[in-house]
Amino acid sequence: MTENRRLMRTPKSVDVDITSQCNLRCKYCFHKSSAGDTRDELPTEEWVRFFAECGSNAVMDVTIGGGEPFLRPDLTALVDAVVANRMRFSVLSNGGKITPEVARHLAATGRCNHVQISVDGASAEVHDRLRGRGAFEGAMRGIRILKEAGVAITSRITIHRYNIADLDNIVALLIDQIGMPSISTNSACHQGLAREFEEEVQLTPQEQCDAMEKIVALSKRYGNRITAQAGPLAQARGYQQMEDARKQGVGIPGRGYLTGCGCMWSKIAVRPDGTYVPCGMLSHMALGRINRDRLLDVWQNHAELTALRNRYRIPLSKFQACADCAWQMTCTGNCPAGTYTRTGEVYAPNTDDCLKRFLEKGGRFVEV
Amino acid sequence: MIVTSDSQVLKTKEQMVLREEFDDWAILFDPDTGRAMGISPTGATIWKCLASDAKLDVQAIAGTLREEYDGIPDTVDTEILEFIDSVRKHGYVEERS
Repeated sequence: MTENRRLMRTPKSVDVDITSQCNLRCKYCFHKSSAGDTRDELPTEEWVRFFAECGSNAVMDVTIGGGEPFLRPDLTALVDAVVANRMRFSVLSNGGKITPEVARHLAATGRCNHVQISVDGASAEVHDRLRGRGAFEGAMRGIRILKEAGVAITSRITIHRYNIADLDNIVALLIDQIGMPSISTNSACHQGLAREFEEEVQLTPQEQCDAMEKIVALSKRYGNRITAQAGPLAQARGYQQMEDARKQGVGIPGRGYLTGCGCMWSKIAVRPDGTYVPCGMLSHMALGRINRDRLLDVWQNHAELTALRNRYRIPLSKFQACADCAWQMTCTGNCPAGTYTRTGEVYAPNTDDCLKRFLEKGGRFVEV
Repeated sequence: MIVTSDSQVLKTKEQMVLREEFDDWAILFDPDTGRAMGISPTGATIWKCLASDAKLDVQAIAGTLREEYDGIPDTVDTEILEFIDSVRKHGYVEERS
């Protein structure tokens, strides 16, 4: 049985990539060289107008990303427009371009959920390995400035082969020393520059197991202060849940169909050139343009967005790779963005996160 | 807004957001705190009365509910006051002069 999903009348949150410019060139950047990596950037007035439309449609949160959002000199004006329209905001950053003035401005709004700084190492040697020289110093400086200004900070650790051994130190740095209430983890997905540097950034099944063991142990130690929607921690938990269900001979409710992911039921994204897309990771799927096409029309009526939401009605049994899989009725088919960059197709399961494939290639379950 | 029996005037705080869904249920969102609260369709109607500039009393709000919904119970006045008490405790309304 497929589940019965209900669409929200308007998006709860909107992700806006306000620039493609960045001071770094990280080897697993999913934005760089993707369809979202547009040269065109909208002027301040266009974003301000769009945020007014978001506010009038009762959008609750705006996530400001890029590129590096702190490179836009009008960031404070954009934040003010978000706040003036009764919304909250978060900013995704590498930290290197944050100034005390802008940090104080963010804090003064009282509406900043957090600024998320990417931190992949507890030292420059590890962090800069795939992010480039000076990135660690910038991240730590950014964190210090935000902390002094009183801005809530969180971090995302992208787990790769060069930082698995450093995970204990990274978590200790972020949670124990800096005092972040929680942090999140993931790993590089096959998008943007990660396609070019696949050999270097993708974990092998053995590395994936090592990373899963390490991060699971850390999550036990730090409780729910380490979260994950993707990557080794999410995989370890997800795979274990699937295996438990398989052993009991039951499916997981709502699974056995292309139910991953549910983002487009509650949020929509906008590229730097103002193009609506379902998600920053599905930046090739142009759905219209802000201030030309009404947010509500795109959200409620766009045929491609509706079709994408209806992936959850497509049974995994339809696909050859899944037909005889023992975990079929426990599986979501995973993120469609990875499927697209591998195959050019979004209406199919993403084999990068496939449990059966992971085990066939030498992976194993990690006790969670 | 509402004028209570003790002549207090209460109105929704300016920053509050009412997110109505297709099934008429709704969410009250306070962007200053990030907190949200789910409310029923009748709750959404009462909220809109509280947000309006007209000075209404409980009986007037009850009348609006009876116009919009079937089967409104005789105890509706008490339920309106309970709803108002709940949103006041959450800090979603404020006194106006």
